[in-house]
Amino acid sequence: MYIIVSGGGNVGYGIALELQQLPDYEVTIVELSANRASSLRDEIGEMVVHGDGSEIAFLETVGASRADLVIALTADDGANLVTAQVARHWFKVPRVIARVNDPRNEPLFRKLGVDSIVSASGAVMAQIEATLPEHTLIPLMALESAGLQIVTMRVQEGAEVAGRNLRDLQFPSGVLITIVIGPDGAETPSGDTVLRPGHEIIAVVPKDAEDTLRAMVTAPLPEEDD
Amino acid sequence: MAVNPLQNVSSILVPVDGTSACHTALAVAADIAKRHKAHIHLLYVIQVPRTIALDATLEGELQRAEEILDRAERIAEGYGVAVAGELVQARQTGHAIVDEAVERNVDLVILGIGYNRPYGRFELGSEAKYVLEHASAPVWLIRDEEPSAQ
Amino acid sequence: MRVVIMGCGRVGAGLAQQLFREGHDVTILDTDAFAFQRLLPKFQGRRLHGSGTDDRTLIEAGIENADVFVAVASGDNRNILASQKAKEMYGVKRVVTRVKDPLRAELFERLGLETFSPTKVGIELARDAMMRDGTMRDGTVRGETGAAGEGTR
Repeated sequence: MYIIVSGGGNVGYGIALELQQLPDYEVTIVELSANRASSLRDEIGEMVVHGDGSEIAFLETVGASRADLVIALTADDGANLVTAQVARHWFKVPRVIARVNDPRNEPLFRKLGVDSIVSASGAVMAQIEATLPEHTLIPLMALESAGLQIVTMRVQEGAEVAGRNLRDLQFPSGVLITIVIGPDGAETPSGDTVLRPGHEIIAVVPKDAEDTLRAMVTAPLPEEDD
Repeated sequence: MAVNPLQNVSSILVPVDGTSACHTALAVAADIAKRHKAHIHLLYVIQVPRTIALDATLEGELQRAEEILDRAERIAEGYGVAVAGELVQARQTGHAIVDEAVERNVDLVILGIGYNRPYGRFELGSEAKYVLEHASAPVWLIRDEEPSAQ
Repeated sequence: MRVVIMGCGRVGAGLAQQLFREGHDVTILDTDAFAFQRLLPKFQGRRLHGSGTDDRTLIEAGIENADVFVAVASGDNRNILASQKAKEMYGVKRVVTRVKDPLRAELFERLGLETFSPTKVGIELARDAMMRDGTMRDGTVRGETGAAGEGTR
């Protein structure tokens, strides 16, 4: 499985770190900024290439013709849209995902047949998971410098949070519930958002609060008899 | 008497590519190896373009690599030292050398480079530069004679 | 005709003025208001400070009722994004896109945009000029004439 990621920002970097753990996966990260490419290369090695992921001639040299998946994750929607279409229509890449920075561009991406993701890492990883079914772990992304992680978790039947709205819940301090994904799609949560079993939550969590949060969304273990 | 810093060198990595510079590096390594009973690891890196899979079988390249490694091994035998040769495929030679140095836990890397003037001016080359910057072991660089001086 | 032009560089400004003279209803956009100084005072079309990739700007420029959209801003990708948006989302019938990279110009032409590549035109013009007096011909074998390249070793 060969994957090209255009854009070496935090999301691209997080994905590459996840994927490079897996056997038989090869990832190339394409980064436009020479400085960023060089510092990424110092950190994660030769999978990083300095170049323009929307340039056809350059994509050819990094093996776009044999790529199984191209993910365009730059902060520039124009570049992402072009990369996605170049990958699909010029190089015939079977699966292409692009990040949409301005949500108003999303209908256009959809109309052009480009699978897009609006949010940051959680949803990106969910998309990748759907593509890579053998990759069962729900990946987390670490924001090391801030001591934070981005986590995704599913609300279980009987969990403490199930059936309650966010306003009434006491989350550990520092926890940010960023996105709640229900049957109708993703929503930015408000105090009135009710968490239901099956809902997926993407949250920014201080490292030491992760266990508490996890306990709140999972079903309690059966009480042991004394 | 001052302690010879080479006394603690017990293994040396010599990347080979068939050039005269790498053979000079090998001669230097052999000399140190004999004096200090050190091992020499030879490394040939097949740099695989990203247009093909990293583990692709590259017949021509493999044959060339084997020839170059064989030749380096014979040269080392001529100096009276035994060497172990290794062949790896990588995207970047510099990365492969740095990785191999860590894996083999070598005490010294001796790298031969040509007098390269790719754009009409001398360039160290990105791979040598990478090794100099990232190898944890000490690195000795052996540069070929300037062609016009020959 | 109602024309929206994205990018007030030399081409955008020149085109805007010509179309205005010919009696069209012209709106020209640029992300840098400074660019409008390229327009002569007698250009009485609309100048709009904003990005042609941004929906708010496009709507303000009247994209919903435009007959023609022309993208001649500096970046290929931005021109392509704006053009596909004009065509696919706002139903503009005639969309013309400048794409400097000949490969991208070819691809997006194939995908339904009307593209032109000044690079490709420039290459052809230069080549035609070189061929003009007959000293250089088609199919001259590489290295057959002229000095061999200077070696590096």
